[in-house]
Amino acid sequence: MNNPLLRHMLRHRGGRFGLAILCTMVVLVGAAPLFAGHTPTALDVTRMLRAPSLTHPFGTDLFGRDVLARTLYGGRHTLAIGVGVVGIAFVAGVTLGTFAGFYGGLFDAVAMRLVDAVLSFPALVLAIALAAALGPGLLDAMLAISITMTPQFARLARSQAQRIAGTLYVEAARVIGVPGLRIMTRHVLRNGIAPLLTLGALSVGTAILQVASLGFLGLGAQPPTAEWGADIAANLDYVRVAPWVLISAGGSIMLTVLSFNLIADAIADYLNPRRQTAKGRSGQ
Amino acid sequence: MIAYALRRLIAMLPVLALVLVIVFGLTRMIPGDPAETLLGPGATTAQIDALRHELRLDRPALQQFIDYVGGLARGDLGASIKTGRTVASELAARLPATIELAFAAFALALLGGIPAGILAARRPGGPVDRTLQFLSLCGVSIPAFLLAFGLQYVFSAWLGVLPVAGRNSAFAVGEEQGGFALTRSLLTFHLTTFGDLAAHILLPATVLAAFLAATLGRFLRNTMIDTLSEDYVRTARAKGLTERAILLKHALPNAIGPSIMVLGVQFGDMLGGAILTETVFSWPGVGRYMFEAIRARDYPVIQSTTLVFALMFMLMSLAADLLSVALDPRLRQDRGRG
Repeated sequence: MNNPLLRHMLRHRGGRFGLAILCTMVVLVGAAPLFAGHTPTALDVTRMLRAPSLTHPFGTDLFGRDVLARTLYGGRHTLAIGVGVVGIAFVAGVTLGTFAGFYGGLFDAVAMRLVDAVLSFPALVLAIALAAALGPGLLDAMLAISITMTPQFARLARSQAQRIAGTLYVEAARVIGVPGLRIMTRHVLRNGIAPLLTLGALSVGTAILQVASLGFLGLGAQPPTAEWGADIAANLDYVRVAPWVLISAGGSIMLTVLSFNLIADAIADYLNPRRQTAKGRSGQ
Repeated sequence: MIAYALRRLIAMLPVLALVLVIVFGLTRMIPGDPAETLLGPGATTAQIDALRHELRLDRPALQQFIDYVGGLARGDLGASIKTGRTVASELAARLPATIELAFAAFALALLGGIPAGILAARRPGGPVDRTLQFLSLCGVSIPAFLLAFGLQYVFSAWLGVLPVAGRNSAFAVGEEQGGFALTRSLLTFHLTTFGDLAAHILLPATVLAAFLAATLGRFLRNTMIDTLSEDYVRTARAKGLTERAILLKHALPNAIGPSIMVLGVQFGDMLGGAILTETVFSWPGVGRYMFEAIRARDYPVIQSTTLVFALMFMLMSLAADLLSVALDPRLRQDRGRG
């Protein structure tokens, strides 16, 4: 699946653009020490809230720290947490959903009502409430957001498992005496994973927005850790005199989320069964 | 239809019970002894015990839960740990501001999203479509607080045409403040007051509407494009109907159904955005109340505001569900649960 998808992505105008932004971001953030020129936590009280200059291309923040360095290093946290959140939600949701769909019965009923209940909350509200209860901190924020994202994976995994559990090859495996757990991992999971991976790609953008929102509310990364949302919150009172902190961290969030959304759009186009016919119709 | 509505309501009950369990469980997730955490390191044992008793932490969990639900049924949401005021009265004062903001945002989202979806679907791949697609992508990618600051900067600080924050100007007194002030001023024709309130609501409502309008526009565009390839649209074209009549009378009514469901689901994201937006714009609503409670670690308030947002979301989802079924009776049969 990898090759045709990548080819489609590179031919797709939005997908190409999204990949380009994302790769640039990952390189800049990954090799932060090469580009930053300053350490993100070095204080300099003589240079507080300085406008962008040659030594500080993105200016300095409230504590005289270099905003470019903080944006680059902060991206490490924001990106890693965004991907991490989706990872946790993916594993938890897929495990729960596959078990529920494959075995059914009481476990399925209980698990799905729980999923309904979590989905009854506005996602960000529940994430905020959970993070507030668990106490402020990056790991707790991560956990809180993953809990709100798990149900989507669980629902999709369950419907995949139900569909595949009824196929002939699963029945054949049962007849020759393959244990249930092995059928689940070898056949059900492996054949149903593609749409789940797509949902995962789609969710990263949302996760990053939520991470930044929690950071903005003071529930994510704690000072002096650099994180985009938290950095904006820390300099909020000075946003009118020193908008560069907001612009660099906020702009980075937006570009990253945009790149994930562009990529997700390209994947959705790729998987759209009407893709071929749509192409034919556009000639009219 | 009424039978269907009742069935949906009854189906919501077990979910509502679980929602209450989760909201109740929030305070029990606080690491360590909640009473100790809340009072901080300087508290005496007597103070901790008193708070434990007040929060009913000294009773079994099930008893606590039953007390909590019983209190909810009597309208008792507990009291704020910081101010001592009852949460119910504080919420009653703030809820109208949030409801007006949410509906203003909803109206703006419809005004922006529906025409955008129709215009984009007219020529898929054309310049209008591509521009709108790009705008809507930006709309779903921008963090609410960034858009809020951007709008504040342009319209308040730079152009100076709209107020920076708040719900009304400082000179507003008594009658003009609180409750459903915007609706009341419109219905009683206090147009100066209405103008002032409307100017204040415009920016926060736009921030909240942006995400919703972008999602709605994208979704409606896709269903419109599908609908426009249907046979009855071809028939309408062959009859020589104008493009306008085809789009608005034949395609739109058939394409709008799924969008209503999407609006219901996205309403939750809008409520989440309300916490950020109300905070940036100092809007005296439930979202800012929750934000202040988080800052102060005021758990009874966090708990109740979470519950209020969940209930608003559940009601809107139900409304969206019922509305789309009312518009398309075919759905009444085959929409199961889960």
